[in-house]
Amino acid sequence: MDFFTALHVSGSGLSAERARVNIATSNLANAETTRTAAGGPYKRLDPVFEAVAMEVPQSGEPDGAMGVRVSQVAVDNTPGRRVYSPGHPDADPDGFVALPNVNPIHEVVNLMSASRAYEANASAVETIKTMAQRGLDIAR
Amino acid sequence: MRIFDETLTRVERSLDVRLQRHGVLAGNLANIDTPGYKQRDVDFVAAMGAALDGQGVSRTDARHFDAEGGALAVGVGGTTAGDAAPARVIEVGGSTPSLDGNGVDLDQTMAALAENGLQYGANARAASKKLGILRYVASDGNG
Repeated sequence: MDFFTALHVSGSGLSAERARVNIATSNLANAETTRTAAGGPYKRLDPVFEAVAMEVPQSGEPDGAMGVRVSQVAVDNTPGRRVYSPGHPDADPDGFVALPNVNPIHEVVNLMSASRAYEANASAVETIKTMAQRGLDIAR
Repeated sequence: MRIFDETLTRVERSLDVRLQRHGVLAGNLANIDTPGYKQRDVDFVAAMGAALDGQGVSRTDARHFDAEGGALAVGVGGTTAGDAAPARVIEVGGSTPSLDGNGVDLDQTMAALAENGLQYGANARAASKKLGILRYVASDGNG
């Protein structure tokens, strides 16, 4: 274990939470999108996190600390809302428009949770920086 | 009275274990949204106990220095702390797991992280003081 392992762990947490924020904001931005490259309305995305064992740099043995990574971005296939709007260019013959399965409240809660988790990781980085400084101050 | 006693050995080991503990606690924070992840911690007491039990040297030859008496022998024993294996990491019961099976308790982890950092600072200061005493002695009290 060295100082950089702890920094890498917190760094992986920061980037995973940032990815989560990016995905939640994509979902929010596309809450009303009816056209996509794949056809049909936008389908909300969900990051899948996976714990990764950190290794001792020289020997490659696991050193007990666990980082995190986004192993996959899953597509949520639950059906979206259907709104009656016969004038819409993407309305079906019955006059219904298929809208994305994005629930803005869900996404905003997700955003807040990601932002708090990001803060927690940032605070761990501050702590390790203080510790490193204290270590360097020995025998000064 | 020995100058090079076990103080530095203990402090050194404690700094090592605190650093490792920080990595493990930071890992809990990094995995706060990972499904099925269980909160982990370092068994600090066991790690210190193992390090302190294993310290010191034993005489394997009658011509060796006496481990109890000589500063040299104790100094040699003190270097073992640097090579000590990483402390054992255990899964600890945090809060009730959430629906995705994640057991990380944010408050507990943040508190442990802060405590760990403060203890690290205290240990670093202890090492500093010990070295300061040695410096004072080595300079005939003029340091």
